[in-house]
Amino acid sequence: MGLTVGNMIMIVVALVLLYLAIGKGFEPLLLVGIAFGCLLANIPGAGISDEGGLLYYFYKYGLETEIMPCLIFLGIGALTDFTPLLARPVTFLLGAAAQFGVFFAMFLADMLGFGIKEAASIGIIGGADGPTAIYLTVKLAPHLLGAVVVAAYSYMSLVPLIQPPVIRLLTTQKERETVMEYPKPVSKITRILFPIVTTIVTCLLLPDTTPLIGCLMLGNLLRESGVTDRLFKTAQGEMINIVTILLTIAVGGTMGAETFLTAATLKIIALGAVAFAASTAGGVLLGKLFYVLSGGKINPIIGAAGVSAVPMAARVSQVEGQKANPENFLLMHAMGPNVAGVIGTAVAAGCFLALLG
Amino acid sequence: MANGNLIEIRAKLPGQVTIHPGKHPMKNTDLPGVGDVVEERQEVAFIEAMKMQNQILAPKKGKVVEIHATTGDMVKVGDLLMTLEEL
Repeated sequence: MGLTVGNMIMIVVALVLLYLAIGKGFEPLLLVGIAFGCLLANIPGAGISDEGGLLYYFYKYGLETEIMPCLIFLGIGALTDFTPLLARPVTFLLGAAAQFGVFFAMFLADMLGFGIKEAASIGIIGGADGPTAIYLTVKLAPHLLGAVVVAAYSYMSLVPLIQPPVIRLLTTQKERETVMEYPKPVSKITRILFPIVTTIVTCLLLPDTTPLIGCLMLGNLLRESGVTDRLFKTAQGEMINIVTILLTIAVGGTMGAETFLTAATLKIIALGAVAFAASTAGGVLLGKLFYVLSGGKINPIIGAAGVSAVPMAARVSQVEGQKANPENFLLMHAMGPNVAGVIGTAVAAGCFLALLG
Repeated sequence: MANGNLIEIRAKLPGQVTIHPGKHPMKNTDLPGVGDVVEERQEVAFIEAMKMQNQILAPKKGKVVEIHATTGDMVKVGDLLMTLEEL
């Protein structure tokens, strides 16, 4: 079996992704594995992604079953501190508004000729949440997995470039200068009840989100319960690391030349950028409404953090707020919509599964 | 020397502080210590939160009179970091 032109192009793609990850620091923990999986999948004659190959089994048992994205969500739940959200619950709505790009990009993808299931998988890129994008795409449009995941993770590293122009376009200097007050601290009992109540309410309303929300909230309960420290430490450390290694090379393994080198991939990458920008706009616009309703107490920039991409998007809010006013520290305020965005994206995925799955 | 107004610089977010005699976390240069004159918007300290080094800037030109925190301290919102004498 010879090396095809497609294989050669994909090996170059893998090398570029490795360079971005190692040389430029683009999501290295994810892109190194994805790029390496892509490299392996394009070695002719190895058949590593074909039935019987190593990456085939990683995919079949880890991804097709959805076990790995759910375990990652368990780890993320353990890593996530929801207190900024609980301290100012209204920011939950900002996390919801920043899902706008998901639906906007889905609509555009549908118009560009993608099927509705493919369009939903492309739209979810705008949620800026890797495991959710993987979860949904495996269920709805597995042939697009490589392109969707690469677009999602690449744009997540580009959040500091994509968001600031959108934020500045939609807000005034005076709005961006707004210094926010710190809300009251959150009690331990609230932090323990949050994952339990969220699970019951969300999963009863939208049973399709149960695997993702269930794992996310169990991870968070391990963190907050105060009596499961050993499990918490493993979930947010070794477990998520091990699963990340397996998951990323399994995703990379789907990037064979014949499935990846298509016009669809280019469209997905373009639509992904639109999705991110539109999600940012959705969050900021609701932020502006909050600014007015609160009498100028809520800085609309933090709406942009609703796209999840934890904590990069919150850092962007911090940088933009401080540029407008050196006395402005939005970081912790932006964490509220930021972590709400994780739940928001999982709920959006659940809606798609309920309607299209 | 006339006594100018004293300016208090307080923590605007919770996190781990870096201040004189600690070094600038990115440039590895000295941060201003007692007696140094700082310009308006000069970096006087850093607070690390969410793995991000947040710069604390001098609101006005002034001379550092006292430093109230130590590098590595976990500070809360409102904790006093530094006092400047306005110049």
